[in-house]
Amino acid sequence: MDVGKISEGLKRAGYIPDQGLASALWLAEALQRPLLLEGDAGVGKTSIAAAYAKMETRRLIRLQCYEGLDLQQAVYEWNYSRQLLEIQRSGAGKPSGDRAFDLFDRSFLLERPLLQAISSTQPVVLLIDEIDRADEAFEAFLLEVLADFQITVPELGTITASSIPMVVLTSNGTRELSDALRRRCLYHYVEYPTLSREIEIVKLRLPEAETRLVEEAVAFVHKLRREDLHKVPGIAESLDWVRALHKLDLRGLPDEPELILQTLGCMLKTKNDRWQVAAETVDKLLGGERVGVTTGVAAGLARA
Amino acid sequence: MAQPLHAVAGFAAHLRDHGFQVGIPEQQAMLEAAMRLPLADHARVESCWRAIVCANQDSWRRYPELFERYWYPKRARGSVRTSGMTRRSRSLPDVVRDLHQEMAQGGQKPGATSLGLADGAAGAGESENRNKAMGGASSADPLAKRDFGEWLQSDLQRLNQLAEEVARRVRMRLMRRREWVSRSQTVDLRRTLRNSLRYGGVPLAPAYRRARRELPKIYILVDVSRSMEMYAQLFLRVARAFCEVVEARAFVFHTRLMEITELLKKRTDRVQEKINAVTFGFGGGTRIATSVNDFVHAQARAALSGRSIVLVFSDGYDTDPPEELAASLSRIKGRGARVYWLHPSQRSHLSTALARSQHLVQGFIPAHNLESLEKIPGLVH
Repeated sequence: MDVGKISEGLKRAGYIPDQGLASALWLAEALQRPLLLEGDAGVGKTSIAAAYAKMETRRLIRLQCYEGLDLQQAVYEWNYSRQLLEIQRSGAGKPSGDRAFDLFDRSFLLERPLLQAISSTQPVVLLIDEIDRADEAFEAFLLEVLADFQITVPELGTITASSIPMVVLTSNGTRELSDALRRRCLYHYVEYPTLSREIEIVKLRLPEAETRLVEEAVAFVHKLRREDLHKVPGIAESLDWVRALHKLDLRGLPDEPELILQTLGCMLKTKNDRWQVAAETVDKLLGGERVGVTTGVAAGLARA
Repeated sequence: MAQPLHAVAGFAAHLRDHGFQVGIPEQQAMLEAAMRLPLADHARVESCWRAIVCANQDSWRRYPELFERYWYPKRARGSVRTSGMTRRSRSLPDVVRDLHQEMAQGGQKPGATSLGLADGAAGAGESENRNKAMGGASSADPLAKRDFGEWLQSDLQRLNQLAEEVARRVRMRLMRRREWVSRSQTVDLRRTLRNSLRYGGVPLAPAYRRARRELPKIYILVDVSRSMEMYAQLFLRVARAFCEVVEARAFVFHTRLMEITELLKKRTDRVQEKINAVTFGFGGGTRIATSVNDFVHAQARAALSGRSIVLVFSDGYDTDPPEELAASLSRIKGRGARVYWLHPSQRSHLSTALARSQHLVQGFIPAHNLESLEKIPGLVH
């Protein structure tokens, strides 16, 4: 599959990629390397893996990382209750079936997402979401999986992938990832989409909304992102907001800021941000180019 | 055979000189990507190589400019030409075409080219690049003629002690989260029950939890503008001590901001050369507000929190409008982090920008020589 086909395929799966992302996905598939996606929350990192799985009609296996995540939840766990039952049955003189009784047989193994992905006979898409939230020890464990696509279970030996999964890791940057992990991955930084691409995305997801409404709302969101907000609205927030405006039977953005203020809860998720964007700010954003957009601070914000 | 490999190795060396970590495996992957791309698609080489060589947001942003400067030097404005150097012309489409031809002729697998690359080509690329860096770093580097070799071992130890002392002062902070330990006062019931399954329900292997303690994250921003020339060397030494002892992250800024943590940690003679390379191109006035802004939004991003301390080594003379520094600092304070301003004079001469943002700075600390630095631990708390 070439880059163009990936681009087309992702569009059909509901994700509109830029050229760099399509190239990175193609390369990850061609070189069989994991792809590390970084970017602000809400820019659509997780959706990329989901769309890719849909495009390739592969199963998506997702591992959501969090602090304290350990191997039992991520890789495998022995099914202790079944082992106990088996011991009791054998003690009662009723061994299960004819086979030799082995407590550490594969049938007693509970496969968690990483092992599921490695042992699957069909190629899958493995999404390791928010890897920066996991502990460093877990990150170190991942190195074996990502480099050699194999997992070592002490009681069973090394399990090597029968089909190499497409691995996508995402990070929000709450913690610096180790160089070792980064070097095993290809890297792509997911930016906020350009105005035209975001309009395209919203139209694709909400075909029922008026084109004028979509264009005006997305342009407003782009201006809002330049404000000094604690939590900058992402694409999901844009979609929610346009959906809300569409439910209000609007065909374009209303001129009066009150109606917009009522629905801004779809985008502004902290008290400070809500307080900061008052009627005057909305009025200003509706009115055209923001004052002082070319000054240092605003330029810095736009870059960020 | 050697020419496309030399060109790719030269590009890798060019990236390495700008702080990228591009080793032999990355170069192999670059070659493989170039060979696998259809010839008509050679324009996509840039984005494919970007995915291979970039490792973070900072390198991601700098890559296009470095790519352009290497492969299309004529397009780059204001580039410094080195006199007396002759070099084979570089053309990316030609390189990709040559690689394809070689693959077609020799039937060689992409990975098999590694030995030639490691032994000869990488060296050639580096020597070519070294010459170029020597021509470029001469005029615009604010840290030129700084001799790091004049420091005595005892001075360096004092700096390390200083960093340790600061770390002791700011203390390990209790975290809301807890961690698993082998012995503690509090039994973790859930994990103990889970462990007991393997012993038939008898809790033979109790698990415990303890409150986690972590060092505050320390960020150091060093001003390397002309006005700070005399002190930059001292401050970079301090920054290195903090990086090594307390895992701080260090940045230099002038008109823009760049991270130098990894460069400082490498204790080689090439550190100065590397710093020259990353600060090359700085010119004009000091843009503190823009740099701090970049620090908050791009470099530190989500990592900046109430457990963070930001030490700014600067005289505070800013060419950005004075009110912008206050705006930038308020963003740091908004994340709960504390800012200490270390100025290279005995008394703090507040510039207009600093005067307006005085309330946002936790403390102004004189740091004009080694002796004054020893007072830092007493002031940071």
